[in-house]
Order: sequence, then C-alpha cells, then structure tokens
Amino acid sequence: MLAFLASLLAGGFGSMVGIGGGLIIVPVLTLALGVDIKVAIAASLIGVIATSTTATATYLRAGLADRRLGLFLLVATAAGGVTGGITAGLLDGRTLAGIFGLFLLLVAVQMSRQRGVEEPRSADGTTPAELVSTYIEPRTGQEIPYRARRLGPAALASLVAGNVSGLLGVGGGIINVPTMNLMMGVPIRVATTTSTYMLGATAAASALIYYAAGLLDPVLAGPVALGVFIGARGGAFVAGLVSHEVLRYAFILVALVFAVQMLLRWSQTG
Amino acid sequence: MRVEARQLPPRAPSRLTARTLTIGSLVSALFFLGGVVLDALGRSNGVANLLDPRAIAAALVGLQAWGWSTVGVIVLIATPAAGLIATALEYRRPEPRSALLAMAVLGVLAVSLAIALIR
Repeated sequence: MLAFLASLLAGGFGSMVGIGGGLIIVPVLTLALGVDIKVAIAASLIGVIATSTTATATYLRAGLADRRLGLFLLVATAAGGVTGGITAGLLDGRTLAGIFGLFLLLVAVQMSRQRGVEEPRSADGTTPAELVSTYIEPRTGQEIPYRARRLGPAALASLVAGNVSGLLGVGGGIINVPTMNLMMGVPIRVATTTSTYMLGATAAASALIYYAAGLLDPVLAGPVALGVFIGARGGAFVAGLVSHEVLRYAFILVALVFAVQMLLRWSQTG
Repeated sequence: MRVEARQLPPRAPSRLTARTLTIGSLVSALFFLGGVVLDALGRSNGVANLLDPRAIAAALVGLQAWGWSTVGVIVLIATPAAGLIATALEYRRPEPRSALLAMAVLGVLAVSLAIALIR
C-alpha cells in the first residue's frame, strides 16, 4: 500500500514536470521504504513501461509520436538499456546510490538552466543523414512538416540514454528529449511523445535482465505500476492548473533533497 | 523555409500498434490489480522462482498475490515487443526500411532475453 501511494505521488509529480516517475520512485522506495536500490530500480522500470505503453497509444492515435524517428533511435537506446541492466548488476548498491545522486544533481542543474525551448525551423535541402516527417498540431489540427538532423550523433546520445535508463531505472527522457529537440531540431511536442514511445522497449530490454537476475519483485512492481499509471493521469490534469515555472522549481527542490540523501547514503561506509 | 510536400513520407497506419499497446496495458493492469487485492487480503506467501512457469501458473490458480503480479509483469514487458511486431506489420508496405528497424529492435530485445536467461 505504501509503495502504491508513493508511486501515485511520484507518477503524479513526475508527469506534472514532464520527466516521468522513475527519478522520484527510486529514491522514495529506497530512502522512505528501505527497499534495496536494485529492486527499486527494477520496480521503477516496470512503472516506466506502464507509462510508455499507456501514453503511446494515445499519442499514436493523435498523430503526435514519430515512429520512424523513434525506431531509428530505439535500436541504439534498447542496446543501451541492455548494457545498463548488465552494468547495474555488476555494481554494488552504494555505488548505484552515488551515481543516482550525481545524476539527480545534474538533472536539477539542467532544469534550473532551462528557459523554454524554441520551435525549430525547417531547412531546405535533404541529406542522407536526415529524416523528414510530419505531426498533427493538436491546437490547430494542422499537419506540420519538420526535419530531423544529425542522426549519427543522436544515435550515440540515445545509446547513453538507454544505458542511464537501464542503470538507474529512470527512463531516458531526460536525455532523449533534449537530444531530439536541441540536437536534431525536432519540435518539442514530437520530441516528448517520441521519447515516451521509445521508453517502453528500452525499459523492457533492461527489465528482462533484472527479472532473470531475481531483482524484480512482482509484489512491489504491481502497486508501483498501478500507482504510476493513475498518478500520471492525475498529474497531467493538475499540471494544467499550476504554472510550469512553479512545477519546475518544485521539481528542482525535490531533486536536490533526494540527491543529497542519496549522496549521503553513498558516503556512508560499509 | 518549408519542407517540400513531395519530400514527405506516406503516413503509415498506427491503429494496430495503438490497439496492441492499449490491450497489453489493460491486461497487465488487471493482473496487477488482482495481485494488489490478493496481497491486501493476505494471500501472499512470498515469491517463488520467477523463471519457473509451473510455479507461476500454480500461484495464479492458487490465488497467490505474487503469481498474479508476475503475470502482470510478464504481460507488461511483452507489450512493447508486441507493439513492435504490430508496427512492423503496419510499415511493411509503405516503408519496408522502418519495418526492418522495428525487427532490429525486436532483435535487441531477443538478445536481452538470451543474455538474461544465460546469466
């Protein structure tokens, strides 16, 4: 019941700041409920898959997620998810807590510097390293064309995103979205929905490793998945009532508190 | 500066993929819900071997929380793979290259499964 409530809050808050629940679920399960960090990461991955499969169905029907781009990047991201899952099995809990704390600090710093991303402009001329596609803008119903550039570097960044997802159970959105939006020039709406589409297969690749290693506790994963599922829907509703700036600062504050606690755990000897 | 209309690829249908993901999510959520309810009712005798299909089936029939939650986990993990198969089917005619990419991602998932079982 506690895991369900924690995941409900994590899923709600995570979706409100557009970053998924994993960044909050893992510290909450570890610090508040005393769950082993590897078991918490495995449960979080199940929450990531639940969020991705549920949201992607909606995004596909709305014509928002770019599956062609997602599939191209997914090959690298899923491979990263496998290596991340294997790496996590080789590290001890204390080291993982330290890495998680550092990652949270980096996310908090990145979010504090974020000042809104401009919609990229399309450019003439196609090269082999570009993908041309369209999405349907929900506010106007118009089909808007765009061009995704720098496919090679983006695939490398996706490999890193998959690795982080498998290693820390946080999904790779925090890396995938800026990669697609800033590096590739994909509109932010397409970047977030395509990232969500990619997270399911990426997290599944890692979850298989955790499952076979006996680190996935299904009795814990069940409430986590249900909590994230319900919380994410509630959070999306509440997000419309609160300003993005307030949510951003709230997330930075929570991330910093968890980062300090995780780093304290890492600093403890034995 | 606009992208020329002639450069745009045909939009592949996505209904099958969306439906597959929705069904997978709902089925797994039902099993998870069953697991949570059974756990709340005290029908939780600890988790047995997650790689033993017979033990999982027995726990499912015996209304053990871990059996229901494990089936939920398996269905949920399989859902993105099923979605990729649906995507490959939808893309096979308008864009075979994307269908191949979907199969390549499925290949990575198969490698992950093989590594998991070997380890």
